[in-house]
Amino acid sequence: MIRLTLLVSVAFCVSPAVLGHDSPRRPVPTTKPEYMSMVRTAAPPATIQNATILMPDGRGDTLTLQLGTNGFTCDIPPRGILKCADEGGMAWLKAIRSGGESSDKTGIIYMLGNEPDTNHHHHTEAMQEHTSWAEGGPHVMIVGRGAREAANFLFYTQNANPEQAVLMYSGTKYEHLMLPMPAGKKSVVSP
Amino acid sequence: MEDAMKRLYILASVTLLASPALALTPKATKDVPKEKDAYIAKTLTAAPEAVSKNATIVRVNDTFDVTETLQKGTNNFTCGIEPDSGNPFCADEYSMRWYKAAYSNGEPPPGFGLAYMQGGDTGISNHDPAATDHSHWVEAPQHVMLLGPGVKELAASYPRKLDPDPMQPFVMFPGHKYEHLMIPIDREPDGTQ
Repeated sequence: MIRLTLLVSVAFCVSPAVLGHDSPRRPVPTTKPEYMSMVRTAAPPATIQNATILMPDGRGDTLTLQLGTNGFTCDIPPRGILKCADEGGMAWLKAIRSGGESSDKTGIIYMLGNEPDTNHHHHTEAMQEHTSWAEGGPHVMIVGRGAREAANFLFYTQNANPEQAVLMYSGTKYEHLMLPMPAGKKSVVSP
Repeated sequence: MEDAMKRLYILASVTLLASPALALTPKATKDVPKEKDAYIAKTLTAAPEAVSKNATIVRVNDTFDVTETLQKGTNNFTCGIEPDSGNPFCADEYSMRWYKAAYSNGEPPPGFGLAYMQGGDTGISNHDPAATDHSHWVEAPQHVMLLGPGVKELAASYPRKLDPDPMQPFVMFPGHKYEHLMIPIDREPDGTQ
């Protein structure tokens, strides 16, 4: 019964988001206004407003749509997983994409525009091993030294709770914290 | 010229789209409803439905002891309303212990916690939680808090100003035993929140 309630509640939260939201697998927009519109779902409005916004031009170069002042860089890579990352976050992403050493610099990566995770398993073993770190529904990632320190205090097991802060890629050089930001409208005030 | 126009267009569209979102950030009130349904309703604004629906809902007193359990939850989170500020919160198990320490002037226990505070914030003095003169006053938008000794390194990496920009990640109570990291998570009004 509890499981049913959970499922129903997940379905409720997910559906409006699916209807009105961009899927990370959706093709990356090729016009600047559409691209900006999609990027804006990645992070809080004030973060976007002062961030550097980059857009691939489709010919291997990158256009700077907006030059920022807050240290965050937002973009939609070819796979369509939009994000805003600060300097530590960008360094970590660069490392994981190239297979290089992870940066020690602490960072924050917003991925609030991710498609809600419909199976509601943010942190299964399969996710750890086989699927992308970027596919776990809307979330915020903490990377670098700050994540490793916090990890020393995390006692939660992988499947403890889908809303719990969780350590991903535990024990590897890409170890990071994932803070789920579940999708769905905010709880409705009394009926 | 064309480039300049485009840039202007982008700037204008960013401004237009960003401003209603800021306006939509809920303005928290200090109200702690006496009536059960109203209390629960306010509490539920603290976190996404996926968290609060299955959380335990409690009333707490001035030293953060639970005085009444209004809903028994099935996940790791406890939601309630801070007795002094009126801010609704949903805190994980560690964060509840941290809260208890902070409200009874104790040492934060070893650990690392996550607390949602999406119902807004009525504000607090950023140099000292006990200050009453509104100095270094900061009102945060919808945010999550990362709490505990496990957040030291994180707190060393983000702005530690007494008068921070609360719309960006910042350290609350920098240098104080209750320092913690605040991360805004407000979203576009047509987004998923």
